[in-house]
Amino acid sequence: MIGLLYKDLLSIKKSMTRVVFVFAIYLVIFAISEDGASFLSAMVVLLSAMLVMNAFAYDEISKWNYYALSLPITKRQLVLSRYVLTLIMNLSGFLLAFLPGLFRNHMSMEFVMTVYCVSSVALALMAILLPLLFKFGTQKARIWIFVICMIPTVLIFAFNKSGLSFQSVSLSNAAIETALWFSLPAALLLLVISYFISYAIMQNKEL
Amino acid sequence: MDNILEISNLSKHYPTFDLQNISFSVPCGSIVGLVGENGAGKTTTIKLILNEIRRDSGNIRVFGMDNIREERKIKELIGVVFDESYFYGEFRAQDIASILKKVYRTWDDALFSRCLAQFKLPKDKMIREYSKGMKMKLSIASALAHKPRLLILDEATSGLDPIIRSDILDLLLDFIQDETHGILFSSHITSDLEKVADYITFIHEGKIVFHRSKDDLIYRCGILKCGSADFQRVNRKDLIRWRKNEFGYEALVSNRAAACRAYPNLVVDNASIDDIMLFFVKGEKP
Repeated sequence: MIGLLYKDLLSIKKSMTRVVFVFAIYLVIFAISEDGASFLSAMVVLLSAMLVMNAFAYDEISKWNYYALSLPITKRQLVLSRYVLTLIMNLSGFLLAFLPGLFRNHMSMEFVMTVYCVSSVALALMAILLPLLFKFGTQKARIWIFVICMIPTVLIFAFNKSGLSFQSVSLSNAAIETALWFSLPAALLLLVISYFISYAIMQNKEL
Repeated sequence: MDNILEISNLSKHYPTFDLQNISFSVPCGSIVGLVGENGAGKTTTIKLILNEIRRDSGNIRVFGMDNIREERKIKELIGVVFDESYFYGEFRAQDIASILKKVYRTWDDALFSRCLAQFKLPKDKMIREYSKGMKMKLSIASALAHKPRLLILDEATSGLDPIIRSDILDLLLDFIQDETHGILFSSHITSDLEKVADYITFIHEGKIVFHRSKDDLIYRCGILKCGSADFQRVNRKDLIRWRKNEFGYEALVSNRAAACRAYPNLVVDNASIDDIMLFFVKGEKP
């Protein structure tokens, strides 16, 4: 397990430094400009999550899984290590995301909430994506990302068409806030379910 | 325990291919050569041993343990080399060591370094800059550095030049000096097997054609060559397989010495593993 994580971190090391580098540049730009801290934070969280996909891509290029299973490594560990990697990347993104706020000395509750929710969204996205990556590989799974990202858009569109408006659903701020706090536990739950699905996929997959 | 690897009645069904009732074993202190055409079932057999695919029936015991139930324990003691390197090209040899050190309990850094030095492999060069031979040597070094007792090589010498192949063969002979070790060596470069193997297992269309001691095979079998008239006189019982070619008939005989005595006027040549394979695949049954 540790070996697998170490291998993943080693292989995505280059992309990681690239993300951090781009982030640093943007950080400077945003330090000069007024706002956009939330946007930048959201970006870094999502990018970190996406790095997990790179790890899949590198494995595919080198057919690593085929080799890995000749080592004392089980399919369960192959799957589990990817979920741990997802959590590590997500946590790193989450922590990095606070930098723009600290930088501008702008730690409003709204900002913290944004980072928190974006992390939840990133985790939920990965929870959906990981089984697809295990099942189809990165090439085909890429198409699924578009499909997944389309769903909220389509839903909102349908919601508007249905004649209901957002104003008609009235919720108090406190209620919305409570709901938002629940987003992370919900995303984590989704990730746990996702793990079992991925595990089942790998168990049935013949390499 | 006499056999380091024991396979019995192993079957695996695919829509277009069937591995049927494979049985053979790798005795301690020996090299077993697995030969057969491309697609004959060699890699499928190895994948089944490694539990990478699921068997339909049969039994595989490694070091006397079931290969599925004791998978991790077994894999600590196996070293596998495939026909290509499965390491990510941006890694260096030292990265491989630091990864595998966390995977194998018995990983020996000093041994790995010695292997690299012996193979003249640079530690700090990226693997994608390695030649094919270097990649293969790296795979072998990685498979040896955790001190396995069973080596499984799947076409590990194909595509390599004779010098590198001979280096690798020497290494295998060295490995087998320890009587508790064993090697399963799948290859279609049969000349390599002729040099090092103790047993030859021949798979054809998913079935075992024979599993015999190599010496027994190449010293006893022979190829009888004759014209059509002479061929009619030959006792069919002496033949294993026969073929007709433009010059006459060729037949594989199970006992060269006996054939020489029985047919003093006919030519009986030595048979190589290649010849034997060819007769079994292309020849007619007497």
